[in-house]
This record gives sequence, structure tokens and C-alpha cells, in this order.
Amino acid sequence: MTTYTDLIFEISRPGRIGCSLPERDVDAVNLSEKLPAHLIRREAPELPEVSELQLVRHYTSLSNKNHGVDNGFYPLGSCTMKYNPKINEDVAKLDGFGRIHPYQPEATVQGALELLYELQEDLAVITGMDAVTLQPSAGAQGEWAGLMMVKAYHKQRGEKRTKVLVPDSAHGTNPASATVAGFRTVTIPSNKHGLVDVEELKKHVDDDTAALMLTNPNTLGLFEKDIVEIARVIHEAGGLLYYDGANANAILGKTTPGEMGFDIVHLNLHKTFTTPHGGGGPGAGPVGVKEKLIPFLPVPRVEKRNGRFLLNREEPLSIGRVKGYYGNFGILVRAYTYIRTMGPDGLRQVSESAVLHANYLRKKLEPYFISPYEQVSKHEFVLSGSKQKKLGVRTLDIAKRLLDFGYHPPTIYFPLNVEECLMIEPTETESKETLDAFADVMIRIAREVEEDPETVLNAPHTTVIGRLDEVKAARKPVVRYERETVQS
Amino acid sequence: MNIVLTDAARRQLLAFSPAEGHVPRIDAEMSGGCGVSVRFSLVWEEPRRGDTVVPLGDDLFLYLDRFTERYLEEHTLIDYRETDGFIFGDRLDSSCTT
Amino acid sequence: MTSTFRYLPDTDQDRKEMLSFLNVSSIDELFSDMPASIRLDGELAIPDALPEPALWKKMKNMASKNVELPLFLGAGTYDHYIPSVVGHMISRSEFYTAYTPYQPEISQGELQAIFEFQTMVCELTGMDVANSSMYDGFTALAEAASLAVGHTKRGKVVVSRAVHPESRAILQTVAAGPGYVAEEAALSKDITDLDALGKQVDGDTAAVIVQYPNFFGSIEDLQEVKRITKAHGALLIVSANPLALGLLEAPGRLGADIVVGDMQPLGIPMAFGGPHCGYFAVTKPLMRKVPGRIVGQTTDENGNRGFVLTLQAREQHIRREKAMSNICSNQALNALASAVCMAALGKTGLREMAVLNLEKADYACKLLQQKGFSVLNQSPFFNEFVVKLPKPVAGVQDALIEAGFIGGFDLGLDYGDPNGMLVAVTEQRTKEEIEAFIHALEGIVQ
Repeated sequence: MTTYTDLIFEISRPGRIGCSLPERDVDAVNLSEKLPAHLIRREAPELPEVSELQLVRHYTSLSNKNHGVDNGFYPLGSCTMKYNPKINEDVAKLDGFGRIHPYQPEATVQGALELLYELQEDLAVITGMDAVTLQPSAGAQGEWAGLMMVKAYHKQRGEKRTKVLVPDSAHGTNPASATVAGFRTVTIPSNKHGLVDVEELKKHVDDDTAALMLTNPNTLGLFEKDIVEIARVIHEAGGLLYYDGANANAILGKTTPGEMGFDIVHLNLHKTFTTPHGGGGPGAGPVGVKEKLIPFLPVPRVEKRNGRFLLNREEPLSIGRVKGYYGNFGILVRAYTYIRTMGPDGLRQVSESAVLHANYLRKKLEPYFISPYEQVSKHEFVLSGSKQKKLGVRTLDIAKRLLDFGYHPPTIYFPLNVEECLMIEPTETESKETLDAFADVMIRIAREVEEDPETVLNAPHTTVIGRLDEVKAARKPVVRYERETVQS
Repeated sequence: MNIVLTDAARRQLLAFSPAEGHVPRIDAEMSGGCGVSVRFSLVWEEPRRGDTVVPLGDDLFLYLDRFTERYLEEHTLIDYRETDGFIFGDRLDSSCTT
Repeated sequence: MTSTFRYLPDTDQDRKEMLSFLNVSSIDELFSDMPASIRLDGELAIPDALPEPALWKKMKNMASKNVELPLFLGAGTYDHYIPSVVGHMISRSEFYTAYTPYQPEISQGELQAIFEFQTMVCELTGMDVANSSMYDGFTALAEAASLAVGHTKRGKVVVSRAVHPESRAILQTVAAGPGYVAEEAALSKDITDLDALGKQVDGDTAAVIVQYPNFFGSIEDLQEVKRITKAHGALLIVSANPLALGLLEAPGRLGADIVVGDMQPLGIPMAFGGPHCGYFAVTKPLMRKVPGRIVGQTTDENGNRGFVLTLQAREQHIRREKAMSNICSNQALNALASAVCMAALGKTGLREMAVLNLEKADYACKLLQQKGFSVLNQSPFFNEFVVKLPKPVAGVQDALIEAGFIGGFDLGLDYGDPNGMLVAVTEQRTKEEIEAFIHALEGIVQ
């Protein structure tokens, strides 16, 4: 069987069409009478011209060259690639949710507003916060919105604090968001146990500290045991605590960021709350805050008064709008459906299973890879490929070899403080059989590294395409199709 | 593969007295998370299995593993500056991707 | 306890085996690192779990509380027909259950689809480079402004008041971060006042931002705006409706440096405002400054064509706090939806659909004028225009709903014009619906 390799532009033939338009039932307009000549399009955009079946075959062929959670195990650390329930998709596609306009009068969208309101309430409970905005469209946007609230909060108190503290194990978006919000970032090193070094932290905390951003459990999958002390140090200096919810899958029903002392939280609904990752989006990054930050939340806010749901657009201290309309509604519908499917008992079991799975898989692999930290893992764990590196095989090679067995590799080379890092997050939705089979393959690859390194170094062997030349893609960027380029 | 050292880089490499059994190596390090980037460094380490050894004149041999070879450009100029250490032209960063 | 949750596969036996392998007696021991003082005592106070049949009923009931009626409402989100094929293609779970294509060997489908999407955006806009998509058109516009400020090292952007109010609101929020100024440019009736703009733009202006067609549906003369930006070395940022580009000259041909917008009109459901899909396109000199992801073409070890997230040559440090943008995701699935829709429409279909929109709006406008309504727009418009009602729009909406229609956007909200109604007429509206709507409107305002 030959693999399909055409671009849609290459199967295009003038005169074909893949859809039908309604008939014209009004008078034709002479464009050149209506518009000045220079604003009328001279050359039509070169969109492909294909029949509907060609279109279907094309995208079906492309989908066959893609690996999703439905295809197989996807232990991509920090991304929480759990199962995406099918009923969520069906609910989001209901006409009553999919075909309503954001500016319809409130009276005609009471169901949508009710859903948003209840989701706000649920997420406030789950995070231990007092109020939630659903507006941010992704974790990074949530971080930025949260930091803009931090800024507004200090300003309101007559202070201009410029410094945001971020541990060295944090996601790269944390410092990036701080910069975009107009702060400077100070990096706090981790100690040898993989946790925030509290003594080191104290050295950097002062009256210029606006906030500390923390992921807990952190990106090494370890719970920051000193969180209560950390919170005290920050609060005593007048700073705020920001919780990056990327790893919230470990704490549902066990604790909350609110209990830990955090003031602001973002959640990634596409991680913890099963909305599909969509090949890179859309997601959603709601932000919850404690009471003292409520005035600064973005507008509009969904509120309930006298049994009716409404949009409040007027809040004088609000940081304003961060996203069009009311957030990624279709994603919010899916998360709401999931929370109603699981209830309190189910969500707690989610985290318990996620943690059990991570520790089980970790212990199975520890004899074969360096496991850099002692402490019990939460929902994910890291391994180091430093032993394999000495044998001339790198973590990237191991990742590529995993492809041959139908697995998506773990997150690699992150966090940055672990050499040749593999970050593994099995999630609660995988069966023990899957974990065992994956462990067997990892152990087999570890043996191959010792006995048959060429097999690993030349991997993958079974994918539709071999390793790609990323250097060439960077040096001579080709970022769009052009007819001439292909013919030459 | 064509690796060229500036005079400053050569001087610095020859002047260094490494630990027993250590050799100079060009090593590609990847950083992941929010996007993937590749950075090159010059380190003294024990040889790794399968290393390529590149002679640079009679007096200097550079080691690199297969992984590093994949990412190194066809022509690589290595310079040395007091302030920055060894410099390998541009580094490679992906667009931000977590 | 046996799991009653269909997404959780562990049996009692599984749990027992895993715990015994770990040498612990209970799952609770795995949480021993959480200090007791922060542990929750009881269950989360959220509603109990529902079985799927009951949940389905509940959700259908909730959805049915939302009213769907023929819409004469647009203002940035439009009711267009979405070919059936679009939903089927994006429902391939190999696409929607995947994440960012970190491992190109098993993500060629997604990568190629996005490469094709980028090409289509370039074709539509007449630009050299497009990224793989943004959160939405509004945030894309703010990112474009930040890019311009970073690129020109100037302190302000000038944004037309005829740019969508939500775009302007988000721009204000974003500008407060790095601390640049977003100044508004005045209107001359339904378009940007070019004389005033000419005086406002100066040597500290990083960019001028206009919308095409603008918020009132009118078509700004980009050529004239470009004359002004060019004279001061400022960038021209255009926010464009991609459907309108089927018949309007490409902004790239008229001098735009950055073109942004939202793909929602092409294959993406309105969905109460999201998720939609921003696009972002630039000229070649700005390529390395584009936020978000870009897919590039390359070859594998055997010379086969393949696609990867492009690495970009940069200097010295890992970006982290040096980043110009914190955007780390795109709207891949919706970019895919719009690519499928654009391919279904094709070169001629897109133009036909655009023309149909213009004609229907033209018909509605003329009919309203015949009935004695006055229309604000003096310039040519696309599929949207402003009708001045003899009484406030706010009081008319409910009556229109009674009559079976959702009326246009109330300009009292953002423009202090309570009698101005922004009416959108897409290809979805039949002649009969247009006539019935106008008939109803006549009755209500009399």
C-alpha cells in the first residue's frame, strides 16, 4: 500500500466544488457599480477545487497519519492526555448550544448562562476560590489574566510591585506571561529533593514581590510539602500566590489551592476536565480568585439575580476584557458535562487513580532508568535518560523508538532541571494492562540501548515517515504551498 | 561535516587541561516544555559509545554523538569569547508549543 | 469499593495488585505528602454524579432553554451555512483527541492540515506567512499591536473606532501589560475619518489598525490608510472578515503589514461566541516575530516530504521571560474546520458565497429604505449595515423575538447611538425571511 502524500492543492482541478450554496433569490448586484475598482478583488485566492468525496478521502487519509488518545496510550507529562468522553462531544453539538449567537438578548440564552453560572460555582468549589471567570481561552491566557489582576490589586493598594517569582521547574509560559503582563521574573532554584528551596525563596521575597507562581504538584510530579510555609512567607511580604493548575489532576477532592493558601488559580479544562486537546486547541483556562481579588475579575461576568441569569458588564475596578464574548463556550459545555458525570465521589477517584497509576508505573521503570527523586509521586513522574546517554543513546531516540510500538512518547526534555528528562503521566483512564504493556516496552528499549543501540538510534522504523530534518525547516523555512516550488 | 575553529577557540581548547580520560565534545542539549530548543555546548567528558571523532589538525580531536550530529549544521563555526565562552552561531528554538 | 465510573478502569483486584507492588496498604498513603492541615475533610460540595441517560436529558433540556430563530444579528459572529462534511472531518478522533504535534512522525495528518490552512490564509489575505491560528480574531488583533510596538520600538498604536468594540477593549487590557498606548481614531459617519487620522499618526505611532469591512459593515479604503501609515513609517494592521476577502481586494495587495481576523464565518459554529479561530498573517520581513506556532515543510532521511513545527533560529537564551508573547496553543481543530470549509467552497464557491452575502444585505437595505427607514452607511458595505430606528433598539428586541426573529446589534451599547441597529444579512436568510423581518420591524416601530 502506498501512503497518501498529496497536498489538497495538488489534487485540485478547476471547475470542481465540494459544497452547494443556496440559490440567489434577490437581485444581482453589479460589483463595479457598488465598489471602487481598487477594492474589488482582481485575482481570486487559490483555494483548492475538489469534489466532496475527494475532500473526505483527503482528510481521512490525513487523520490516518495522526495519533490521538483514541488510537493509543499517550503519557505526555503535564498535558493530562486522558480519555475525552463522547457524550461531551454530543452535548456540545446540540443546536441549542452550537447555534446560538453571543449577542442574543439574555432572555433567549438562559440555558447557556445557567450552564456558565453553574460551572463557575463548581470550579470555585473544586479550587477553593470565591469566584471564577470562564473567559480565558487557554492556560497561558489564564496566567496572564491572573497576573493582570495581581497588578491591579497592588495598584489599588497604592503599590507598584514589579517582581514575580517563578521556580526553575515551572512551565515556560509562567515567566512569559509575567513578562507580557509587565513584570520582571526572578527564578527560584529547586533543592536536591526537587522542591522549592524555601530558604532560597526567602532571600528573594521583599516588598517588591508582586506574586509567586507555583504549580503544585510541581512539574516533577512532586507535592510541594512546604506549601503552607511558602504561602506564609509570600503573604507576610504582601505578595500574592498564583496557582498554575496544569497539574490539578492530582488533587481533586483531596485538597484545594484555596486550602493551600493560593489567592489565584487557573485550570486547564483540556487537561483535568477531559475536553479534547484538538491537535493543539481550542482549550479553556478559567481563573478563580479569593474574595479580595473579585473586584478585578474580567468583565462581563455571569451572575444570577432573582432566578434569572445575566451578564454584568459594569465593574469599575475590573481589568477589562481578556477574550471575545464569554470564553470558549463549546469547551465549557464539555467540562460541565464531565463534572456532572463524575460528581464529587468520581472526581476524588480520578485523582486517586491518577496518583496510583503514576507511582505504579514509576516503580516498574525505576530499575532501568535513573529516577532522580525520592518523594512519592503524584499524577506524574520524571525519569532521567542520563544512564543511556553515556551509551550514546539520547532520550529523543528512546521517544522515537516508542513510536514503533504505537505509543505516544512522554514529554521529553522538560523540566529543564532533569538531565535527558522523560516526564510520564499515565492518567486515571488507562487500564493496568496498558500500564504493564507500556512498562514492558520501556524495559525492552532500555535493553536495546545496551545490546542493540542501532535499533534505537535509527528509530522510528514503522511510522509513515522517518525522522524529519528540523534544521532544514528552520534554516530555509517553507511555510506555505507554492505551485512553482513543487514543479522545480 | 565541516567544523571550523577560530584561533581564539583553538587556543582555548588547547590550553585546557582536562581530567583523566576526558575529551572535548560538542554536545547538543534539548530543552522542552514550552516548545523545543536545541543548544550546543563544548564540554569535557568521557567518550560515549558510538561517538564520531572529528580531527581538527593534528593536535585536536572533537567528539560528538549521533544526536548532536543530527542537529549540527553542515558548516559550523566555533568561536570563543571571554564573556560568553564558546559560541556556535545561532541556536534553534521552536515556536512556543506547550 | 468497585468503580462505578465508566472512565475509570481500575477494579478492586487491579488496585490491590498495584498497591501491593508499591508496598503500601492504601491509596491514602500515596497522599501522605499533603499536610493534614490542607486536606479536605469531606467530599467537594458539587452536585452528585448523573448516569448518562439522565445527564443527556438534563443537557438537552438546558440547551432547549436557548432560543434559535432566524438571525439578523452579526457584529463579529455570523450565521453561515456549515457544509455537513466539515463536522464529519473534524469529528475524526485522530484529530480531536491528539495534542500539539510534538512528535511529527505520528502527527503528519495534523501538521499537513495546518500547513494547508496556513497556505489558504496566505491566499485569502495576500500575505507571505500565516501562523497556525490564534485564540480568536480579537486577541489576534491585540497580539498584532504588541508585535508592531516591539518591532518598531514605538510607544503607541492608533485604532479606528470602527474596529470591533471587543477588539478595542482587549487591546486596552493587553496594552496595560507592557504599557503602550492604544489611541482611538475618530469616525466620519460609518468609516474612519482619514483627515483626522492623518493628523493623529506621528513618528511615535507603531501601527494603525482598521477593520475590513469595519464594525458597521462598511469597506474602509485601505489604500488611503496605507498612504498615511507609510508617510510615518508605521505598520498597517488590518482585521479582515475572511469571507469578505472572496470579493474584496486582498489587504496584502493594498499594503497591509499584518492581517488578522477570525475564521468563524468559514465553517465554525457561532457557539455563543466560542471557540472560534483567530488567524494571523504577515509580510516576510515580520516572519520571525509572529506569535504562536508555524508549521514548516521539510524532508525525512529518505528525502520524503514531511511537516514539522518550525524551529526558529534565535539568539543566546532560552526564551522564557524574554518572550514577546506568551501564546502557547492555537485553535488547531477550528483551523482544521475552516480549512475543510474553504476547500469545500473552493476558489469559485468562496467568491459566490461572498457575493450572495453582499446581495442579500443590499436587498434588505434597499427594502428598508423604501419603507422609509434611514441607513447610516454612506460607503459601500458587505453583509452588514446600520439602520436608524425611530425608537431605541432596546425596546424593539423583545417584540422582534415575538415576531420570530433575532434583531441586529444595539449600537446604544458601545457607540451611544440607542436608535442604531447593526443588521447582518447572510446567505442563510431567504428573501421571504428578509421581507418578513422588515415587515415586523415596520409594525413594531410605528
